[in-house]
Amino acid sequence: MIKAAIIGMGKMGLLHGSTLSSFDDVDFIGFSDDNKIMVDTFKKLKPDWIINKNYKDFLYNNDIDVVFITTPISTHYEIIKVCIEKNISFFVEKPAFHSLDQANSLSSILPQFTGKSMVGYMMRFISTFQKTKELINQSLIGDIRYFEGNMYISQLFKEGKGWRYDPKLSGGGVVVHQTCHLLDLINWFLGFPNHIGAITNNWFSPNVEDHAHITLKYNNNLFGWVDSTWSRFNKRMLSTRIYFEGEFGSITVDDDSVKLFLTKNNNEFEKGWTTFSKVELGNGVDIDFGAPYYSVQDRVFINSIMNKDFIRKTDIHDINDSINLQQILTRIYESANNMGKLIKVEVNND
Amino acid sequence: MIKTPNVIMGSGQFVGVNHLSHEKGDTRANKFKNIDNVLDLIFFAKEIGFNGIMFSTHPHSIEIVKQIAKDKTLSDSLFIYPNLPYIQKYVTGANEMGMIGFLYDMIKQGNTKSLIMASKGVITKNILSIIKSLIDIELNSFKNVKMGSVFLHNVLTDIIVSLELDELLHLYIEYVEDNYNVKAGFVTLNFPKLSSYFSIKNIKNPLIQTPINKIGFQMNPNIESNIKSLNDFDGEIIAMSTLAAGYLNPSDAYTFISKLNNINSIIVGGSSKSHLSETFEIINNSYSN
Repeated sequence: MIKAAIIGMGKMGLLHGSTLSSFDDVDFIGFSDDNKIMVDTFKKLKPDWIINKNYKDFLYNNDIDVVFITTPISTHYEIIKVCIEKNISFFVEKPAFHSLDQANSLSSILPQFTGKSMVGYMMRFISTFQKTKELINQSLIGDIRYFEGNMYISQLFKEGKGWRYDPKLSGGGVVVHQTCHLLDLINWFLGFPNHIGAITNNWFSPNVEDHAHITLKYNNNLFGWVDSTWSRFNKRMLSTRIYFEGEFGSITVDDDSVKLFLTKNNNEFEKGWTTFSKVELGNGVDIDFGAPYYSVQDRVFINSIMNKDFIRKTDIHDINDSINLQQILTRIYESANNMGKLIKVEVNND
Repeated sequence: MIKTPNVIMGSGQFVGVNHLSHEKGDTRANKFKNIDNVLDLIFFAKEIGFNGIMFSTHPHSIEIVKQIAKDKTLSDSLFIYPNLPYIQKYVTGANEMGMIGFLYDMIKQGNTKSLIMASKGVITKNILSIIKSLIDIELNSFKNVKMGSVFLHNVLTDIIVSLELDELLHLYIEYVEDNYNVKAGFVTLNFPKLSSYFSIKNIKNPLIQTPINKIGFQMNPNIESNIKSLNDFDGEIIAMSTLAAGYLNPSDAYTFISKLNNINSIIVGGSSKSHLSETFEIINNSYSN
């Protein structure tokens, strides 16, 4: 059994806490949050939990093997530093950092860390995107020369309230809250780009962007773009779609299906179209709160800490990947401030 | 011989829900923006034998319920099953304002009674009073229709079960049953876990809505443990996702379901009269064969 805890018992803290409580090999011991209502409520409902308003006291004075950090973005860095100092494995909700300075500063102390880390890019655990990773790894469509992606939701049509819309607390708007998922998928499928260009638009939010159109250029002539907004009509749920074009065909993936198109037969698939539905691809999970990939994500991370095999081998986005991703996010904003100029990205591929 | 279950109409299609395809869901929702199209389909469903409809508290669903309330033929004869709350509203609201901030915002929409109760809750930092107010606020739109039962959304049910929040479980059951004179029901995507917890907590004759289908879609952790729990269950079951979001053809789907024990009702969604009629007939034929 490993001892797990949450820092930040808001919406995501509740989700992860409930998931971890369902795992037979996890002892969920409690949480830290500075909200008096949450603290008082759970002290009454769960008197056996350890609950503390101060995260430093909580981490220093309790025996914890893994902590899930689900606080606002601006607080991640300080909490992660304590985890590194105490060698507590940590999961942190995305994005991990508020700024490139934080990412660079953390990279200097990471070599001393002996625990495991994960950042909450849960779309890697959605069955259709997992299948796409498998198809791309098999080189079924040959060298990929082009891609286009979009990510939309009908969420914001007036000025937003709260920390998400304050760049001092969040680090940005739709790019850091939403588009980063799509960028992470592209990085996971294809590797990091060498140049980035971006145009952003503030439609409803005075201080953060509501829309971003980003171009990605790679040294091997691969080129693509992604478009993302949280102010799109008729998108009740977050909707993600990516199209890849290669030498021998194409792959189109969204939340519901993967469509493979081949120009010639190969060992496994016939020329023409093959479709994989999420219904065929999905399996039951330990616990499902309406989005099974959160459960898969947490299960993969717990297994990695306990060195257990997991039948779906999926790459974990760890804190080093986020240090690289922060490079990309920072260059996006730099480019947007320079009328979309292509800017070089330098990532650490170690 | 297994008794033919009641058939309840699902209403997700009216607000864009489609678990197989987000795109289809959004497209279908456009057809049902016109409430006359919705009511036409509901009248038809009632005529062919559906005995109730499940509704979330999505704003468009609330508008539909208001129109049902104005029609005496429908409101007197059709059971309405609220499923609280429309969770996407809470997720978006929590994103904007934090969870507690959003709950406070919701409270402001209440009537005098719920505001007083909520205010006491806020002052004393008593979340249980706040939760009771929210139940009242969510159910306010259903006061002029005939409620069959009130269901708690699967996210909240499964959080309560997972964290073993016994006090919230009892609060919900007692508050709904004492104040609304209907049975409190629970939607879950984790039926074996819920069944075990309810048994330990000695919840008598619980009313549960859960996915049951031939391919195990949304049946966690697997189809086998769900079927075992179904066979051992001492309560009422409403089967949902019986067509696996449209992936299964109705004949195969209901041939499978008709051989299972303990299913009291089946929820069926449909966006056309022919679809509803065909599915209803297949269900009845499956049980009579």
